[in-house]
Amino acid sequence: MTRKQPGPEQLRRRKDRLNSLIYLSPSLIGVMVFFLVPFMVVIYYSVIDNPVNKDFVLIDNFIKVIKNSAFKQAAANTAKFSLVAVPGAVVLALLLAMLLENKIPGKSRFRTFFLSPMMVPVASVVLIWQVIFHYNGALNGLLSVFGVDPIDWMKTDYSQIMIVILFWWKNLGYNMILFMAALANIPKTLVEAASVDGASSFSRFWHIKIRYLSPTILFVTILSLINSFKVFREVYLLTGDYPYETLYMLQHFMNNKFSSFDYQMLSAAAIIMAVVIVAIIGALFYAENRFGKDVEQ
Amino acid sequence: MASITLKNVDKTYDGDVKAVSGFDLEIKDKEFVIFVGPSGCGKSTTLRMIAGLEEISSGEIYIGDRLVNYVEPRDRDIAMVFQSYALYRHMTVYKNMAFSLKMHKVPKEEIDRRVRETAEMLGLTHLLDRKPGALSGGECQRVALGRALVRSPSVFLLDEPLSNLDAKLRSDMRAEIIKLHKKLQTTFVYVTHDQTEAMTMGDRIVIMKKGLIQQVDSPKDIYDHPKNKFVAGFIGTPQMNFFDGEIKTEGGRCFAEACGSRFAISGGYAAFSGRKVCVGVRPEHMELCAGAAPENVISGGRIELVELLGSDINVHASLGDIRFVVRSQWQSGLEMGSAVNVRVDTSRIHIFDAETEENLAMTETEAEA
Repeated sequence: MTRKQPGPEQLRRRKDRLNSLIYLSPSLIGVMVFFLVPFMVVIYYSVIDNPVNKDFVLIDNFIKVIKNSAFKQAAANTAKFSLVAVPGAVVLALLLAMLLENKIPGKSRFRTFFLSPMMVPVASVVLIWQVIFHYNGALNGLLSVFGVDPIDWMKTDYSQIMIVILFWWKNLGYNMILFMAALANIPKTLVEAASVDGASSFSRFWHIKIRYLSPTILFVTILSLINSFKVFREVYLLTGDYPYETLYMLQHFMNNKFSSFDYQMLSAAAIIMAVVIVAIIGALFYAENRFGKDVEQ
Repeated sequence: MASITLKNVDKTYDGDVKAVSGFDLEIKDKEFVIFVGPSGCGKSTTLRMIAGLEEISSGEIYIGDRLVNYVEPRDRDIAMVFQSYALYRHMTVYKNMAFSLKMHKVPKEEIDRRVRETAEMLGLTHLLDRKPGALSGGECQRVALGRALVRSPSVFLLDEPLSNLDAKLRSDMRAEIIKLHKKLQTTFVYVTHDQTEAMTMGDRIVIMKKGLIQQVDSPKDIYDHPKNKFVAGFIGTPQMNFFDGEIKTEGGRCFAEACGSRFAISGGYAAFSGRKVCVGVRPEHMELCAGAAPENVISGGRIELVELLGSDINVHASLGDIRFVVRSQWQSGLEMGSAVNVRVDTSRIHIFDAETEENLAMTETEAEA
């Protein structure tokens, strides 16, 4: 029995496959080592009782997390923060981009102004915020001139507003640049056709531009959502492990669980959070696919 | 329906780039006017200024009796068809056509009636539920026309609407637009760089070059009486032949001497005797002939190329450094490199001043006037 020799086409394909694998391998190894393997470990930790016994407990850890009052508080705070900060970051950035689309004096200076927070390290941002909002900070100093008693901004209900403003300050510039690029990509003739057709500037925005912006709106929303979950960095640097209750975010919960070596709870909470984020992003993709599919080139 | 008047309109970009200069034109109500010229001549800019999509640097634009310099495009009662069709890709054909009526708050029943009527007229009824992505180029073009027609505007502005179509479709659509104009009896302003469109469609043609109007006339008059060398060369396929020469008078007769021959010219050219000129003859006003002659014949040319166009041929020939084209009927024995003599119909000859490039016949007429 003779073995069939591979044809030249087959040999070429094999070579292509091998080449693809060689070129892909650095990224694949990176993703495996830094994302997939840790994620598998997290899943494993979430279904065992502890790293010593390693007894399989199925969903016990998830139930414990969901019933945990600190988790509930953190999830509610994070949700509340994201619900306000993310749409705000999208809408405000879009408004700014549209404003800068017009011929206004000092346009490039405005752009730089909004982009500059991106260049400042988080620690410095926090320092600036502390200088302004500390009990003995600049804002209270200013208010005292008008006879207003000092407010401990980070230890009152104002604190969440402060964090939202900090988040916007940090993220608006980048979102704005993305929207400016998207606005510049809308075919000019379409907007002109709409204005000849009788559309007001609001109608042009509502009926035409927003459709062409939908992929960018999706991208900016996802980006802001991810960043909103990362606001912990700023809050942690501002207020430490146990901040005022309205600032207690999911990552505080996880950070504290990490410090107390409760990896099972930490892993379960991380998986719940990942599932929620994936569900939200899936819903956003679905909406964008329905809303913007005809305008994508 | 409305007339359009442009008075001394200028458009300057970034301080010193003049796109349109001193544009004066009156377009009559129901007229079909074509703006034609090479790329960058300012024809589209002028159309966009009429539409209100481009601000004018100076001058006045009237639609009807209304000065529209500062009127928004949506309030000018115009409709425009764009080169790229500019269809809203996320809307169906029906919604594309209904959009402007919706923006003008026309009642729903009226919108439906008008959209369906227009769709019927343009043969779009079966496409009403489709989106532009599912249409061919020709269908998109019809939808773009339909979107403009549905509003019954006073003025139609068309910016190179056929340039994205293939030759066959372009010819069909050309005929349809002509019929449409006759049917609608509305003012049409049409921009093109295609001289065939210009010659076949318009009541009047405005020929532009570098932002300046070169000539405004009927297609026939532009063809027969080009005002200058640019217009003469721009209109006509193949392009008019130009020969450098001089006007001479001899024994009371006037001649244009060029390419080693002389062409008898009549009509008051004697006044220009001794003037350096450029003699223009269209290929269709020349014919291949057997023998040489002292007058009105270019002798000793060499055939460089013969283009077969069906019943006609274009014979590309040269005489020393001079190159010219003769339009002729098919005949055998025309070999590359063979000698050829060409008789010129001197009654159709054009004489341009070598320096100003103005048509001397028209200069003379204007001077008399």
